[in-house]
Amino acid sequence: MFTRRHGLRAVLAVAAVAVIAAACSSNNGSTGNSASKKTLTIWSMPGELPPKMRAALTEEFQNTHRNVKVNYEDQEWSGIQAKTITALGSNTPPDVIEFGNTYTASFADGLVDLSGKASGLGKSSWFTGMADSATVDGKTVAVPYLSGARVVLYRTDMFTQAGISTPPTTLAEFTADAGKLMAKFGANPKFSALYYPGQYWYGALPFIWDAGGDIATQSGGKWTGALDSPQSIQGLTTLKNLVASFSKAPKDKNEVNQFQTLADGTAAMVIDQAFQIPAILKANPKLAPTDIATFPLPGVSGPAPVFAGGSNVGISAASKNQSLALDYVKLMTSPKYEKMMANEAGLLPNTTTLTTLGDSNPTLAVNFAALKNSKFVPSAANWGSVEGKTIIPDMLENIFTGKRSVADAAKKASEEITTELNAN
Amino acid sequence: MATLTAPTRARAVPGHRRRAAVSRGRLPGRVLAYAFALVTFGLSVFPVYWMVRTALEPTADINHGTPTLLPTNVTGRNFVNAVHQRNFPTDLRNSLLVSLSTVVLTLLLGFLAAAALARFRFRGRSLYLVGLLVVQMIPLEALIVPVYLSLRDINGLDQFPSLIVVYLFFSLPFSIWMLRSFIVSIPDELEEQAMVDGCSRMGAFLRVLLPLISPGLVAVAVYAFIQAWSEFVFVLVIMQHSDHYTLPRWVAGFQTSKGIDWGAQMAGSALFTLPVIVFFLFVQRRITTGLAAGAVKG
Amino acid sequence: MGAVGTTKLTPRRRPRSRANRPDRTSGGGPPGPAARGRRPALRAMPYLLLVPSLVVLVGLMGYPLVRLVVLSFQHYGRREFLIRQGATWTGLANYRMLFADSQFWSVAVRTIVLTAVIVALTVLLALLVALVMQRLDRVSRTVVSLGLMVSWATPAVSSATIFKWMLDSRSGIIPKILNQLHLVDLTGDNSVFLSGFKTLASVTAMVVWQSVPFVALTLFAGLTQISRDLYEAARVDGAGPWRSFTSITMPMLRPIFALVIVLSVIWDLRLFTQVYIFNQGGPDQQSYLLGVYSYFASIVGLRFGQGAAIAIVLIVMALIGTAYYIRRLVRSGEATA
Repeated sequence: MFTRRHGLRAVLAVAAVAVIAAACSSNNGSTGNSASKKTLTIWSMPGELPPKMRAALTEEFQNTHRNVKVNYEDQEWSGIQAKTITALGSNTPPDVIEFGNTYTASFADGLVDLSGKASGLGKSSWFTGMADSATVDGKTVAVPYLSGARVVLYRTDMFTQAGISTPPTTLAEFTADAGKLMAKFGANPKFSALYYPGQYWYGALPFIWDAGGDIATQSGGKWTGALDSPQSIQGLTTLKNLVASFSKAPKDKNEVNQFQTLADGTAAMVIDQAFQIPAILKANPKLAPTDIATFPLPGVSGPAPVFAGGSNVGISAASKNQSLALDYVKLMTSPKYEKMMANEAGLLPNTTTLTTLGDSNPTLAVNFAALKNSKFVPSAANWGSVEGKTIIPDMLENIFTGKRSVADAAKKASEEITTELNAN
Repeated sequence: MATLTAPTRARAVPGHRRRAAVSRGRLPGRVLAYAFALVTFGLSVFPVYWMVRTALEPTADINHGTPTLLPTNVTGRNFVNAVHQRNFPTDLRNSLLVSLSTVVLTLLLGFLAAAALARFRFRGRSLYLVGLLVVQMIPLEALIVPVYLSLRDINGLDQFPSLIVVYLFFSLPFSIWMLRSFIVSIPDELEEQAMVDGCSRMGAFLRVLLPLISPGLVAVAVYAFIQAWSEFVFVLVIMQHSDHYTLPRWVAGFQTSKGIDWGAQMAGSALFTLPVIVFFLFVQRRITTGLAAGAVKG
Repeated sequence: MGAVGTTKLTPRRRPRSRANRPDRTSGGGPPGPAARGRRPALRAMPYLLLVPSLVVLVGLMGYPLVRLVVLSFQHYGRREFLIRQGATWTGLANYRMLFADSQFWSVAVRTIVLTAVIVALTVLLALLVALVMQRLDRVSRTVVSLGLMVSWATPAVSSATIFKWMLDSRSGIIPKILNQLHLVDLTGDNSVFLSGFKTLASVTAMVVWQSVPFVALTLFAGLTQISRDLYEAARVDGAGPWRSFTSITMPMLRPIFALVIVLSVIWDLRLFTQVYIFNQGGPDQQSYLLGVYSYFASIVGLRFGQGAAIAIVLIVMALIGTAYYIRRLVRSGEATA
């Protein structure tokens, strides 16, 4: 009897304390400091930028904005589109948002129109492709921040052992070399000459584009899915055959982990961003820096067009600190920090004034070269839903597992894309 | 759910309280029963055991080793990794704050409503009771969008009180039903006696009723706590800034942030899950009692 | 205090019969002078006590429900959402579009079938567990119920994560065991996560695993309420164990069955977290259930009007599924006793 009552009292006491704590903590978050000190909240993508760069940026910003606290929130990739849109739709959005540039059109209505400020943000020297990715209906709604073209990362030591002296430049050579690698290392049942996880849709786009296909085309304001065009199907078939012959990667996974396989030697090539190289070297300290190198993904004749993915930075339309946010964006995307980002992280800066950086940095040089031959996803307002509903990864899964024929899977995906892009 | 009057009520004569009403049967039957019980127990605890086991194993063994019932090598590394993942301390604090606040409010509001429903007859009482029933039949997941939009209109997004009220809503109907059944089963005379002895009506309520229904309160508290601690969908939609997340988002979040590290993932799940299980087991007898009282008897 | 305080509050206590309870509002009133002066206050009291919970319940159910219905008749998309205005009335357009969509029908049927399968498996297994528990000694019974509590208490987020790991096609324990036994191959291209059917089967296993404990313990509690005399009488009359089961146990448990079935139906119709975390409704949207479908239509697809229409269908389904039960309770007066 007594223990029972004591137990209850303990529960009640703890709970009461919690409620009081709740009241206190919410107090000091919302009203306590707001009068004297403003907080600028910035959403960023995880793992791309070195922390010291962020620190330097924040420090410089605070030198000129003494009463502003800069609060970074790193986001996870999973569900990022839904999460960002619900935040943009709220009355308490983050002030500055860094987001995958394929989402620009989807988010545009929730972002501040920066057209009037664009010249001050250096728009005239932005790379054309990146500027396009930040423009919706002629309005500049974001500032391009960085771009990273996908290239082939490979193990030079394994290439040498397989008797390959120079990286392939055409699809035929690529296939032949992959065959040599399989012959040399295929005794290991886990070995992939090209490690290609089944949901990796960025990696599939070059094959589609190189064959002359596309994701969707627009005419007269209406979008039509084009993954089922003969050209697209040909590109997808090429990829399917490569995967069937040379990849042991799981078909129900995406590419986030694939750099590990280069590190542990279960793969000789992956299609990825060059900035993964330090992570690979870190994962296997026995590798020499020269053991990993890059070459542009080959097409039928010459390099294939690649996907110019990257990040843009925008300001929430519902932000209460828009002018502060603009100051921050201006600094963040200024040549000084773009240069630091390029040098430290091996990602492409937004401005053509920095192309000379490639002279001393081979990783950047490959990236710059790839960017010249890059393409982008359809700039439709509803593109975000196509990604959110994983239409292309689903198609690839169906193709690679053989559950549907290439034509069949492509037709289904194309129809879904048509529906999504034209919905309003 | 105090919704049923078991037909056995009349027969469950006090004093006639032998546990198993059925004889335990013959030997082969009993062997079979024990075998089945063993399998039931094994299947019930295995996933949770496997979570803990994986959490204690080094990453290399997890990915490449042949799984054994007990890990060959044991490490605390995964827990360290998990705790350093994103905002663990903040999320833990938020979870405790939200869950415990929900518990307090559930107890308070639940008790008031239960007392009214058990001790008074008034117009609208039946309507309220039926309403409570119907409310529980509506899938709340269907209301995500309007709840989001309504909260947006009143600047309630990304606020702890909003989340607490939602969780209160989750646990209230069941709690009212359950507490009501406890109060109904306590004779009025006890309060009346107390009132004769000089207590006010409220005093009588508090002094006499409260201790007597404490098993019900504890069960309700645990129920509300677990509901709030575990909820994922609404915290996913309502809360936006990462320093306002609760642990379910933390657990679901590091699934894809930097590849899949199953060891850390399981360590994180264990940190999130084990307290609930321990808490639950600690009061399990009361829960069963409450369950029986709530579910079986009217 | 002594006598009262030590009385164990067991569910077996016989409640006071309703007839004896004084009717508070119509004059019966509690005895003693203390109460006399407070009649009007007393009359208002139950309402005062109910107000707080009523505010929460109506605020969170009533208003959003109305809003949901309105939304389902509107065109409310990405643009309307972000610029916070401009929703236009479109009548039944959302519903027409929905009913014309074959995906909607397959998701709806899938939701119903999956719910039925999960509920049936849960109740059958739980009954078995409850009957077995009855035949165990005290210690074993406690051990089994502790085991059940473990799976019951595990939050959905955790169980989805754990099952995801156990079923992983490369290192998961379940594919490894099944391979050893040469039963089903779940590795590589046969991964659970590449097949809609296997994903749904895994969700079923996971949900049953979590739902059996509540139902089993409730049924067990019900079994302990059945008087032993009944069984003895039946034995005297020459009834075997099966006969006793069908003519005593089952009829006695019927109300409890109704209760657990209705609760299971409603809980399983609501499935969201497990499906969402387990495989995001995939592969290829093949494990979409109505809740997930509505979420993807509104929050991901940004077609809030259509998402609302799907949600309405789900609510209607839930109400139909439970209407019979509620009506019976209300009719019998048990709910409001």
